[in-house]
Amino acid sequence: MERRYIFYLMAINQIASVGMYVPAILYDHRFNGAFMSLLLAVPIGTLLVALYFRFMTRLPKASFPELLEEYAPPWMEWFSKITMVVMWYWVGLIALLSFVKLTHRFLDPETSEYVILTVFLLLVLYASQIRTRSILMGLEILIAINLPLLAAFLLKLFMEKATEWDSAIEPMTYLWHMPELDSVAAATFVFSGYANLTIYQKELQPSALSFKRFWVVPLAGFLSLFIGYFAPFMYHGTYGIMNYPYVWLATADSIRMELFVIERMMFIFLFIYISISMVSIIVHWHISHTVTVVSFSKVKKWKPAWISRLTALGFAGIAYALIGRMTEEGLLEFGRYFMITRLFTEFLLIAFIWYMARRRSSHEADGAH
Amino acid sequence: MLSGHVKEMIKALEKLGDSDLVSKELQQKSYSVHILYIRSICDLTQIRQELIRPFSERNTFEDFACYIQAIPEACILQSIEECREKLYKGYVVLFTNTFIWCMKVRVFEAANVMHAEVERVLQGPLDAFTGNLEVNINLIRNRYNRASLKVKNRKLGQRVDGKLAVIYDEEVVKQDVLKELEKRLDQVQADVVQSAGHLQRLLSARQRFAPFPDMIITERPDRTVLNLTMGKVVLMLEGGSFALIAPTAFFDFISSMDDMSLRKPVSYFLNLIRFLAIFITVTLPAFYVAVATYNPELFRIQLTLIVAGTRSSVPYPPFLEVMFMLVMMELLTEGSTRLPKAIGPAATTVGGLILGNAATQVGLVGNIMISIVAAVALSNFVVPIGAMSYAIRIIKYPLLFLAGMFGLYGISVGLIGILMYMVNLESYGEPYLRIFRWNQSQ
Repeated sequence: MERRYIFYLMAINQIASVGMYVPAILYDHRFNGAFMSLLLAVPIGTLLVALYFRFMTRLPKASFPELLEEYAPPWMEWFSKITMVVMWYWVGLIALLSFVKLTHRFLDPETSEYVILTVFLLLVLYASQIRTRSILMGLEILIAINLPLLAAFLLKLFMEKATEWDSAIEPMTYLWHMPELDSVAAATFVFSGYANLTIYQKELQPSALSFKRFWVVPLAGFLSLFIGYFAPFMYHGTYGIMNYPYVWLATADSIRMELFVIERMMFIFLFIYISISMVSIIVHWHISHTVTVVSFSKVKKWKPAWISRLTALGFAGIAYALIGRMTEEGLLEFGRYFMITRLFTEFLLIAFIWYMARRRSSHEADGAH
Repeated sequence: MLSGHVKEMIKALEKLGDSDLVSKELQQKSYSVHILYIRSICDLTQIRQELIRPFSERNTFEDFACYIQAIPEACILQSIEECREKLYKGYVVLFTNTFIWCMKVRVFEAANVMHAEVERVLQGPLDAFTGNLEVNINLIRNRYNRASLKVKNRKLGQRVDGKLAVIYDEEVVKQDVLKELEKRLDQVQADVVQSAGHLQRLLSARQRFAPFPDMIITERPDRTVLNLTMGKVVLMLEGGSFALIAPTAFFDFISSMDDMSLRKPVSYFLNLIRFLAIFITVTLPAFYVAVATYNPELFRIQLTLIVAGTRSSVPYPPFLEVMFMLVMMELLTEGSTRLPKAIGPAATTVGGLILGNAATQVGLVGNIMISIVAAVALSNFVVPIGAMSYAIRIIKYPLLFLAGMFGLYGISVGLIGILMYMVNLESYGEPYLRIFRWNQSQ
């Protein structure tokens, strides 16, 4: 059942979307089209996932860069590779920077942001360079640890007495508004976990890609979006929600566990948040790192170990350069740009795979003659 | 002289290739016979007295044939498959020109060996390996008497002349693992190898700095046999008293042989307890430091006040307090393991009672610290296999440092780091840590 790894890869994007400003971008449009974009995102995201699997099963078992080398013209190969490196680095970077800011604000205000960043970077850069298969196994263990915690958290979230369900229903009345591009792009993020397969599918059997129980994809995506967007309204109200830079953290901190050793739910939430964020950064940067190393060793005859180190250095350098300049609002904008770019590159990704699948089948048809 | 047909059959059996397979032609003036047996499971005196001596006293083949056909526990064999099967069940097989004959001479050494001391179980086999390689192979062969079990003796590396047996079931063994192991055995460079643990260290040169053992060291024949059925390779050193098993995964170290003989809910419960124990022993000191230093708001206020209250007289930060007590505890554990049995209890009393009690009364450490150290030490003893217990004893210190420097998120980063490090470890090409199999077919 290697298929489960596909679910894990999709699940981390869904859980980590909270840290990737998906709810925050949606809240900006809560009176003009957030709900509509949420509803639109489900078919769009599901379609992208379905097309990916449909076209990918027509190609042999290999990672996306290897397929590019085989079936694509050079411009497409290099364009895709560079885009892959940039996009997957970018997504990890947003999660990392926002997590550093959050840690600095909530857990450790005395320590400098640079020191906190260093701690996280040491972990992430180490772990993103280990074997692909090991990352998948680590991902599985972290998901297995976090899912029960997450279930308990959600249970408590909805059981809490001091909530106003009407406040969650009120934003639903703003259904008939034109959705904005950024909110649609943000909402489709919960579906884009499949894109990680571009590298990780090499470790899986080709049969894993022929999806059974496909209905899980729209359902899980919809639920995570729905809960991620509407649940905080119950705690803070339609206007109060804008008072917090980290809405979900504030929501978690509103929950008390009277009969437990740890009284504040915030710490449970933080633990889930930190492990899911870290593993999602690791999963994403592993892709960026792998593609860089593989492509570079094609062009220059350097030792792969050195390319790997230089890449890691570059990753760290950009993070250090940005952490001091970014405010929390700046990061939100940064995330917004990412979301929009991501949506378009995802369409491109599907288009390229479609092109390669077609080219392969026409090759095979030629071969048959 | 034996005919060519018989010789071919003997050759085919010799091809089994076990190091403890003895194949010997016995010559008399007018005739000759051939005997085959597995040395480690056969009673050699019985063979000598009931087979070889009568053979040497009978001058004609007819006389000898009359004698052996009169032996009660003997029988005539028809095919080579039967011979194979009987051989591994502890029979001596005798070839003559006219018939194939066998007699049971099996010996099981279980009565003569010591009880397991290091890995104790409540209910289950009690015997442990001894220093004698032949006896150890006897214990394994008797528990696992299948023809596919291979025992191969070999030299170790270039210089060492010590006897080493490589044992595996050729039907289920993973060939990659076997090859990798043979390669590493060839590369061993040492003047003497005296214990299984030493051999393990020499073999895992690639992951030299990993605290986690990549082979199980066990003194239990039943654990060894269980692992053989799972396709693993066992190494046994003459004089070693312990078997080495490769490849192993992290979870092999958490299971005790008792789990096999208990009801399912009970063994699940015990496994759960062990995981809890590992979690406590690794993280509890770190959590104490992180909470007392950085995030006292983690706990509910009453608990926070208790912690603060017991710490009111302590003159240094929590990190030093924890380090102080942990070092004392390590000294105590180390001291009492190596001490003679007569002095052991005295050391524990002095260390445990006096030091702990006095330290809190003087105000060097808080009362709650004593409880934490006791919980940590106790949990550490729950891990069933010693090598893993040591590894777990060590890895709490990096976490402690991270907690002392960064607090709660330091612990989280440390735990995720340890996890990622462990999933990346390999034991002879097999992944070290995974909760489910990669896919069902494996």
